[in-house]
Amino acid sequence: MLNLEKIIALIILIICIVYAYTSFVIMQANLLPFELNMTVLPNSLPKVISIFGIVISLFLILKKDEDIEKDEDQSKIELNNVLNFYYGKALSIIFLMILYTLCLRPVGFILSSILFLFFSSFILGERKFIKLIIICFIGTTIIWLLLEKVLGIYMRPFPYLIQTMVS
Amino acid sequence: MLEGLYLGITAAFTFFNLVMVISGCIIGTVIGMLPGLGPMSIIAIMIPIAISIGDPASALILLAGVYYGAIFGGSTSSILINAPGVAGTVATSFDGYPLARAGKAGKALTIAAISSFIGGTFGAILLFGFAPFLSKVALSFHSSEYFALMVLGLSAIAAFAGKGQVAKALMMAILGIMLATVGETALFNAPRFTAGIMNFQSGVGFITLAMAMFALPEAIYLILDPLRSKTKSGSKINNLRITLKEAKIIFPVITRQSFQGFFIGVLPGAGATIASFLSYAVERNLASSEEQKEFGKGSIKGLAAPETANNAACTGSFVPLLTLGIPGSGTTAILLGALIALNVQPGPRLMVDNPEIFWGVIISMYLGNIVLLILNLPLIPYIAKLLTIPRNYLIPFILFFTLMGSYIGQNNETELLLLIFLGFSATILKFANYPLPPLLIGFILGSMLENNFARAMNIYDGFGFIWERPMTAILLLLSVLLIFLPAIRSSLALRRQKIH
Repeated sequence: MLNLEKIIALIILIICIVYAYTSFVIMQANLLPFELNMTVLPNSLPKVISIFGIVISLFLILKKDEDIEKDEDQSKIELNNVLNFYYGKALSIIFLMILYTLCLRPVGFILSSILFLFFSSFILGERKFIKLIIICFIGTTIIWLLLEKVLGIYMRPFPYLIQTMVS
Repeated sequence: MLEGLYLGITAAFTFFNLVMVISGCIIGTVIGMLPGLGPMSIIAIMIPIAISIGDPASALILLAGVYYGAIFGGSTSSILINAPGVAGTVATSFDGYPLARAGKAGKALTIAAISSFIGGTFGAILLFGFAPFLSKVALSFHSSEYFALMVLGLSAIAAFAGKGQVAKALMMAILGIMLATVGETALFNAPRFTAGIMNFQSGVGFITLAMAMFALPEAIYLILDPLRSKTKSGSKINNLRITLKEAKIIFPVITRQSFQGFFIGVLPGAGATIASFLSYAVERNLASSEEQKEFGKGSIKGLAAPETANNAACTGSFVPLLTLGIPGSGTTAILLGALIALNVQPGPRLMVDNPEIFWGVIISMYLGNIVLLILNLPLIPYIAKLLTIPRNYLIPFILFFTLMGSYIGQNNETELLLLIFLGFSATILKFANYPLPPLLIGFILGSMLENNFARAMNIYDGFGFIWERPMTAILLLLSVLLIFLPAIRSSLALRRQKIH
């Protein structure tokens, strides 16, 4: 049966094949006439690394399981722990991050950041709402002031509509 | 030279200049802790303030404080939250973060501060003595040597591969090089591998990848496994003490890496990143087999080496700037701009025409280093306490800073979505025990490798540079040696065991 390591090696193999096809076929066809006389072409390095990538990923797929020695690193995931992991919480926070990214411009930096910090803390189990709101508000405002007023990095603070009304 | 030294000291040591350096260190440390804002961007932001001061010596002293403060701030975020904001501090997180997680954040920060300080001190001494001579050596390095140097840097990935993991580490480095080929390059006329997406034309941002490989998977793991977020022995978190035994262990590392880091830093374009990766690889190879197992899990040698090397390299990068007027790194390019704005033209005549400025710059850089150590050592216990913030608050803020770091760098949502996707993929790779640092090393060195290789091939019309330039051949041989050294050592050990 395929283990996670081999499934990943298989996915990487597919990526390498697509990359190799792009380098050998598509990029080769798009080369300009003068580029053909160059010693190094735009697809030279991609060609070489795609071959290396295919060979190594094939090696990882075909390698016998017993050859793979697990690293005894602290970060190694114990099987017992894996079963008890909070997958729901992690996926909810990843979803929240995507939502935050999409809302950053239309909703504005301050409001979207406060909501992101509030809901991610809530998902992690924080229930002291007043304290949470104060911390999220102060944290976001300090970062916004630092970026906008000190460093001159513009972040639209409020939703577009409110900002137009105010201005 | 002593006269020059005296001139530099008189220019640097005034009350106003001391205030400047202290302010610079504080500003640099605080802002440098934010992922995405490295020394380069902070110095760029501070230039208008520095120019408004008027006096070149005071302005440079302020910038020196900001520079060293930002480097230390970057190391702090690498050690405490595994979020290296600049390429030069990536290697710091390999052992710095595991040390912090083991409840030794204070010790890790102290080792980082002291290693950086000693690296900077050695660097300054070497700068005093050898600047004019080294500038000639730096000029003799051509694209073929730079290509070989990048190969040497890439050979460092062998140091991140555990037992039976070399193929995985190589695979990750190849994925990193693949990511480096996305977007436009200076060499070719059309963008590559962008899939028609406009925002990919500028390529994948370094900050995005660094955050996706280190900070994001760690934060996701902290969510998945609440036990992981409990750092061991909380009382030790703000303990700064380094024992005599530990000092004896790191002293030879610091000495070696001060020299190595400085000489790599002298080469324009090589800089702190390669110096830190190479230092890590060299020290791991020099360590005993028992100590090697500690690397990546909280080895003090693994922390001291890159911290020393990157600071020594930063000082080394001033050699081409001051003696030839060539900026060796992005940061020195910004400083060159600041010097020109202050009516100072760095170059071969600087030491003769304006000795007070030449020595003033060197003294002010060193003053920044000293003040940073004095200021930050007492602050370390408080900085380390960041880790004791409850996880319900700490994790959302880590995620927030991670996203902000990437957003500041590229200023588009596509980059943030890419960050989340890469971070999610990196978490799965971590699950399957694939080492992530080689991916980032491949990414950082990949484009530099391609550029220098293409230039060398064009100049020599083929592979002739390998045997026509002895330095290139030596560097390539060293890379081969660095890759196979662990295998040679283990086979020798096996043979010795059989004999006994």
